[in-house]
Amino acid sequence: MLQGEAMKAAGNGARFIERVLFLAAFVAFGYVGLAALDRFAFQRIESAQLARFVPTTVAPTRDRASRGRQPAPAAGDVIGRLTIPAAGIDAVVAEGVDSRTLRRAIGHIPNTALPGASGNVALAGHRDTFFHDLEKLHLNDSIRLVTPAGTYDYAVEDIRIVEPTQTDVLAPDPSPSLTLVTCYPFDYIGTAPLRYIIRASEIARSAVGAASGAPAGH
Amino acid sequence: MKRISILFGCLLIAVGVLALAQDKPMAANTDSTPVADSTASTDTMSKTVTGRVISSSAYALAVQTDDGTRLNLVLNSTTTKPAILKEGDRVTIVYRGLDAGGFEALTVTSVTDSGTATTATAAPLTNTGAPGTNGQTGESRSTAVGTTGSYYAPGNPPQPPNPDSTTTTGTMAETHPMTTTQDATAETTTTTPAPDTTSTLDNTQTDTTTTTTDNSLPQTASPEPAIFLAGLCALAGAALLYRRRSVL
Repeated sequence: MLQGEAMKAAGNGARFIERVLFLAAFVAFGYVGLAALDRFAFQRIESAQLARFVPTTVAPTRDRASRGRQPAPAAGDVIGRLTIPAAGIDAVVAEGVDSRTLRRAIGHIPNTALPGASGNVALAGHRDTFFHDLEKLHLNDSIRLVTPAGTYDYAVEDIRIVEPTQTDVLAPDPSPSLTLVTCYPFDYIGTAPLRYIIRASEIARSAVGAASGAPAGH
Repeated sequence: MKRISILFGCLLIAVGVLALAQDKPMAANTDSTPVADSTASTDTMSKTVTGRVISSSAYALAVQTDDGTRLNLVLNSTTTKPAILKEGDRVTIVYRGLDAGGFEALTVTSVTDSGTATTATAAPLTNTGAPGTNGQTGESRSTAVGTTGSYYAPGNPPQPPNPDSTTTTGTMAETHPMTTTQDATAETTTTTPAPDTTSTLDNTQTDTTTTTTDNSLPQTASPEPAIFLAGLCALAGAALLYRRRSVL
C-alpha cells in the first residue's frame, strides 16, 4: 500500500517536472520567435520609413569641406541603411548599442561620427543576426551606407580581430571612415571573447544637401 | 520521491545559472557605451624570454625557451621583429598576455649564440610589404598557434594614434617610443645577456601601463542562440520524462 503511494507520488513529481520543462521550452522558443518577428517587423517598417526620407536623385560630390555637423540622434532613432553586397547584408542602422537596438537593427556606436561627418563612423551588430556573414567580407569589398543626408560608399581596407578592451579601433580618423564591430568567433554561443573589426575608408559620396541631416525618428 | 526532489533541485540550479549567464551580457550591453577618445585598457605586464625559434609565420611565432617550454605567440601589426626569422634562430622576445588567452609578442630581437643581440631590420608587420609574407594572404587570418589575439590583415595601414588618448596597453606597441626608435634606426646593437637586453623596454612599458578604464567595445552577442539551446534542452528533457513515464 505504502509502495503504491510512493509510486504515485513519484509519478506526480515526474509529471510536474515534465510540465515545467515543456513550459520552459515553450517560453524559450517563444522568446526567440518573438525576437525574430520583432526584428523583421522593425526592419520592414523602418525601411519603408527611411525610403521616404532618402531622395531618389542625389548630387554627387566629394567636397569634404561640406560635411557639416549633424544633430545627435536619440537612442533608437534610425540613421540609415547599411548594404554590403559581398556579405549579403542589407539592414537598417539605428542609434545606440543597447540590447533592444541591437536586437532589431545594426547599432551606431554613440560618440562616434555620424555618416556624413568627418571621422570614424562605428557600427555594431549581432554576429548571429545582421553581421552573421561579415566574415565573408574581404579587403576592397564595397560597403554602402544610405542616409537621408546622402549615400556613402566605402571600401574595406582593414580586417582585424581585437580584444574587447581595444577601443582605439573607434578612434577618430582624419579621413572619413567606417568601422564595423561584431563579436568573434562567429560560431561561439554566449559572450564571445574577441571582437571582429572591419575598417573601411570612404571612396565616394552622393550628398543631398547640408540641411537634410536629421535622422528619421520612429 | 527523494530522487525527484534532487532532480528538481538540479533543474532549478541549472535554470538559475542560465538566467545569470544571460543576465550578464544584457547588462553589459546597456553599459557598453564606448568613448572614442578613451583607449586605456587593463592588461598584464610585459615579460621577457629568450629561446630558439621553432616556427615562424606572418602571424605567429613558436619558440622553445631556455627553460625548455614551448611558447606560442601571436604577431600583430605592432610587433617589432627582424625581417627574417628562421627556424633555430635565437631570439629575445618581449611579450604580454592577452585577456582572451594566449600571448602577444611586442618585440622580437635576434640574439647571436655568442651573447650579442641584434635588433635586425626591426619593422612592424604593417611595413613589411604586400600580403603574402611567408606565403600567407590577407584573408588567411588563422589562429595558427592555437592562441587567440590581435591579428592584422597584412598590408593594412597602421592606425593613427589618437591625440586625446590616454595610455593603452592594447595599442602600447603602436605608440611605444622604443618601438618607433627601433623602426627608425634599425641598427645593430651589442648587449649583455638576454634578460638584460630588454630591461629598458620592460621599464618603459611598465611605466605606460598604469591607466585603466572600464570602456570596451560593445557586446554584440545575441542571447537568442543560447535561449534557443536552453529551450531545446528543456524540450528534450521533457520528452525523455514523458517517455519514461509512459513506459512505467
